[in-house]
Amino acid sequence: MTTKRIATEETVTIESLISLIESRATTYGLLARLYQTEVDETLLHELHALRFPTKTGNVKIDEGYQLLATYLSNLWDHSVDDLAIDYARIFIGQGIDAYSAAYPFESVYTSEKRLMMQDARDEVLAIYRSMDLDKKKSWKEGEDHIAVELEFEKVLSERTLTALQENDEDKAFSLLSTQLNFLNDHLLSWVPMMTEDMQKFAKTDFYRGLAFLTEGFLETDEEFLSGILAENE
Amino acid sequence: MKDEIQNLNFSSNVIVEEDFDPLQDNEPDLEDESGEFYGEFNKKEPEELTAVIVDSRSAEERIDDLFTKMKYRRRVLLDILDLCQKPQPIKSVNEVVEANQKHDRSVFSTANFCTALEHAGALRRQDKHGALIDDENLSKPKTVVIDGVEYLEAAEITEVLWAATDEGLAALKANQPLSHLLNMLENDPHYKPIYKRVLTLCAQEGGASADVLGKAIDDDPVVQEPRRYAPYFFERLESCEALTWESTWKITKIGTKALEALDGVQDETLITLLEGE
Repeated sequence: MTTKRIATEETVTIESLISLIESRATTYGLLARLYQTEVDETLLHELHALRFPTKTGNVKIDEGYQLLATYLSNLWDHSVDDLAIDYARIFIGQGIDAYSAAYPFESVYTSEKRLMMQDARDEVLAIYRSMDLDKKKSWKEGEDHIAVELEFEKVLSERTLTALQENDEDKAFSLLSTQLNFLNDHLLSWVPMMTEDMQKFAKTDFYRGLAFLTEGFLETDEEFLSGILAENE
Repeated sequence: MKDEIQNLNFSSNVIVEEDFDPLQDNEPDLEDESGEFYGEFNKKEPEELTAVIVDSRSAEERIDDLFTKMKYRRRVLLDILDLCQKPQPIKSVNEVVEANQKHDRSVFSTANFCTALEHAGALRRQDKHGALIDDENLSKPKTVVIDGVEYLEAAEITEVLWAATDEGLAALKANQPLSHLLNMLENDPHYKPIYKRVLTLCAQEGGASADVLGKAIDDDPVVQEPRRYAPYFFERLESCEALTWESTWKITKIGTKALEALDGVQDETLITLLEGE
């Protein structure tokens, strides 16, 4: 078992770091999937089988898990329909102005006129391409959609895992630094506003819970990455 | 091409300013005089978005409103209530709706119909023990401890049954299509031969198409003033459940009873039509 002091008060093993980053990647992947499109029957039953920790140390995550678990305890034949309706209500809306939904695009929240495909989209696209990533042709939305930004963090987490498993710690910490920068410069600059809007529009505990979970997870991830990288700054 | 504006091919007095620039940015200035950015038309206040809208109408009023707004799906709604006089699993309700709409596809799913009836107070969700299932009576997740760590596990999925409420049963009972049909016939006595003709043609094997009914009715003197066409009659008969659409118009049991009630009505055109077959 190798040991490395990585700028936290306690000694963190590479093995435990790998475990933590695996967990981060999984969570980012799940969040990305839940924002990408409506929940289907298969995913819903997979979620029903999950266990959610009650005390994570972050109040928002705990609230999110409580709401999700409560919703999943009351599934019935029309749950998939109910969630699809709520998804459309929250993220697509039914109005003609820029305030009728929690539009899941960074450009909407960071541009003056709340429009899509603005500077934020160009910036994240440049970042993706700098990491040799681009959106699939099947993805017809903008690159600053929350699902894509979350999946970007997932991909970088997985690359970090690979680097650690290959004992390339310099590359691993470089990737962690990129993740922290992207988190601070992009995700955390707008997602809290979007999740606040989600609370206004959501009618199901599922998506209310998702809003809490997303905001809380990004907060804790920022704390984690900042702590891990402190000595390397 | 001449330079003067007057030589344009369309007639308009277009006056073009000398410094007109077709590439000029003409976006409106969205700042008002106070300097604050606006453009948030139709923006709702936060309290409007989170406010719970309470429908204070009685269940009877909501049900009546639902049947009025979904009048073309009235039969489906009534069949659901009829089935749910005893609590039914969702699968059984699905079968009834699919059978009902086999020849008349709808954008509404069984879930849409049942949810609409539930919101109107005509249906309720319950478990197999009869306990009401709604947002006030949610199942709670279980708490489990594994390796000293506390987790939430979702409760087991409970089978949901649909059951008609008292108000829903009252709406079902109030539906008296034969009575409504006979009243309609009495209110339009001059159209009795037409209704008899429609019912008779639809009672034949294979029913009758809209085209056949049109040829049998549209030239009749009694429908010239006011001008009526075949759809007026067969849609009214359908609303009284005397006819049903199954790729052609076919008579129902209620329509057969109405035909019996019209037995004494003379219709020379009908005799001619039937003899011609």
